[in-house]
Amino acid sequence: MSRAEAIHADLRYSFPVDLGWRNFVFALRTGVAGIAALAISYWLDLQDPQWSILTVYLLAQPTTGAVLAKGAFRILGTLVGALWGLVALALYAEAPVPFVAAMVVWLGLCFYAAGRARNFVAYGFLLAGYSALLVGYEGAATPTTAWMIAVDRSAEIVVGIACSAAVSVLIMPRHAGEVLRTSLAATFSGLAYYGAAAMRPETPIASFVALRRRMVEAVIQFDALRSYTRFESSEMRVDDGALRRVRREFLSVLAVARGLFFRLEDFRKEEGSLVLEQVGPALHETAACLERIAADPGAVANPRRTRRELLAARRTLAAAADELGALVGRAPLDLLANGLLIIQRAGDMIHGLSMVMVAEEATLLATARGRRPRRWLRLAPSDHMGAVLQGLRAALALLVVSVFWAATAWPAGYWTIAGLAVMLMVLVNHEDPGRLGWPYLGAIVLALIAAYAAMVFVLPRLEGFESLALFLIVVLLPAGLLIGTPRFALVGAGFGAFFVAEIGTGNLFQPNPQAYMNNGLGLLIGMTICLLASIGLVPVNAAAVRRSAWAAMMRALPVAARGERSERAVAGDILAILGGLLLRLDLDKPDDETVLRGSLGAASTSMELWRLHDRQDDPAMPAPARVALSACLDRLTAAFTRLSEGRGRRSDIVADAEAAVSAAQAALAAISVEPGSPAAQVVLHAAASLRFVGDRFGIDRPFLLRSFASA
Amino acid sequence: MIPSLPSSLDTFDFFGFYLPAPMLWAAFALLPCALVCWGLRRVGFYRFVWHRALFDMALYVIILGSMILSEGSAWRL
Repeated sequence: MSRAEAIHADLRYSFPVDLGWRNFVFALRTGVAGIAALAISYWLDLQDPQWSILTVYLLAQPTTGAVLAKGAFRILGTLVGALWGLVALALYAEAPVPFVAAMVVWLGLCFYAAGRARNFVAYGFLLAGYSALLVGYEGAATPTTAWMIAVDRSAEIVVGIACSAAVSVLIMPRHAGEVLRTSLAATFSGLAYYGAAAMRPETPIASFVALRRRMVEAVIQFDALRSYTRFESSEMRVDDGALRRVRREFLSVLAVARGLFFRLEDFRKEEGSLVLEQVGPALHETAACLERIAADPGAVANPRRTRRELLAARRTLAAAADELGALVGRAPLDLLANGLLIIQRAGDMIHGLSMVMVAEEATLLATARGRRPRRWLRLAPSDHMGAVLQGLRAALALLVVSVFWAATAWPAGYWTIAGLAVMLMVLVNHEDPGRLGWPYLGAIVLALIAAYAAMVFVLPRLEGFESLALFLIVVLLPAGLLIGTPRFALVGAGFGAFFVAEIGTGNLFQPNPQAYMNNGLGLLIGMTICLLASIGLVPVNAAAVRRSAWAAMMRALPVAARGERSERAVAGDILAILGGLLLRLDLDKPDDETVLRGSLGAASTSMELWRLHDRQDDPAMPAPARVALSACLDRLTAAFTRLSEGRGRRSDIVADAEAAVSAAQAALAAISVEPGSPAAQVVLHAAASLRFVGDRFGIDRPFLLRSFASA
Repeated sequence: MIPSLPSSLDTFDFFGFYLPAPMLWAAFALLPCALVCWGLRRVGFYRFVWHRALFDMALYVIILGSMILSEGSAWRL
């Protein structure tokens, strides 16, 4: 690293805002888009031009795909919402009670749908609720101008969206697809290195834990980027199904590597050297292969070559597994089973990485053929109750503020509604409203103070649009830099949007301090009411979402134990449930860490249950072992079914399942088989699967007991 | 009506509902622009274009301007 690079790295480390040149470009082009939107709105003589520049800052996203996605759904949501506001006004302009009821129900439905839908489809539903409030409540004060309010508001928002999208594709565009490919390559290399670290005896635990955390965050970022790519241009659009498979394989590698590391550590400490001698060289060779792949910058660009290398590593592991089979009868079965389990888990990890390469080849082919993704609207499978609570929260908050407005006849009541609507949008789909909402509220307070100061001291001294544009660019540059730094994106967007909205960029510059204070106070009161209601009144229950996902995972395990679906299909289902939860998890919380670890463990357990079912039907399996395995699988099926249905005490059920596995292990250990025979191989494989399932009752006990949900 | 602007930019009266004409023209211009872009892509024209988004944007502005100006002339006739 050069001296300049070192200084730059130090600066970046000490200053939390991203000061890279890309972020400066992003901040400047966002400012340019805002000024262009303001200029067009002035030219079109729209009623409140500030809404267009506000839209630009609410829309600001560092990648092109995100802007197009957000913009498309925002336009649709705005038009539908404005239409509903007009319909409600047409029907109930003179009847406040049914009018408020219509708006409350609409808002509740929109926020429910936003809770069920994903990504920018959810954004469209949010905007439908938001626009309906703005048009409906502003129009309710002057019903005769409702049409013009709806048209102006829609036009201003559309101008903001168009400018934001145009600037982001014209000025140094950074396509989400390109960022995604870079992220895929980096995550793949990182996971290969992580897998190698899991197999290396010299890796310290602290380094491994830190590495794992980084890899989980990388997979979460990859998933967020994946959601943007579907809105790219046809050249950049990639097959979303293949990318979902990539995410699943990334998660499966994460699942396997951690277990492998700790199993190997225990194995090296406690168990005999005979098996380690057999296993060690194969693991060493596999780790070296993964390190080579991790260091190769062209590994993802050349998936066939990478797959060939991974296949060679799997062959080495398979040969080591065969050699272990020859030791049956000469070493304790449990020891051999553990050794085989290590080999198998390493093989599963390599298989996961190979599948990433298969999916990558598929996306390259799909891109070359210009194939489009098949499904773009997906409902979250396990989030019904969370969405209901979210809709209820929005509806109740609006009802409270509407009653307050009606009772006090406060002139700034509309701004209370606007503040409420904005805060509801900010808090949607977030389970910790305080953590997100208070800094956002702080940013709005700062924006209001800064806007007032600018209105009093700066705007009267400016002559013409050019000087106003220059002033706005200078002030909005820091806001743009904040938006481009993920940690501060919301705070930056809040400051930028409300600074320009409140500074008085209307068609006529008429500063009115009393009205400003009144409206600002109304805005903040609406936001605070919404925030307090979210924290205390109807919190979206994070534990309920996790419980629902947990039950769905428990329901999947008996399917694997009965062999109804293939091993990777059931594991894929569990990982898909985890994928839905991924963006909600906060790994600083021990409970969320338990959920992540337990979910990854459940995916691996499903694979081992399926393998057990498969092996009990193997003709080479001795009859007593088959009977023991069959009984064990039946008891495990019953136990996981009871857990998912909530029948009986969970600790008793888990103890029963643990006893079933122990009984089967004892039965297998008591069977004598000829070393190296097919029977010895199949018994050893069954013992390895049993060992894995049995270990989960210790490692993932808090998850199986669902004790994370009580916190 | 602003005399310096084409008459096609006058506010549009749709059965008593007033709509901003520039927004309508901007929306109408999307269709021919999309068709032209599609045709150019089919014939491989974009191989010769340095900045596709810039080209598309310029094309859109030309089509929008042509529609507004030509329609304005037609109305005056």
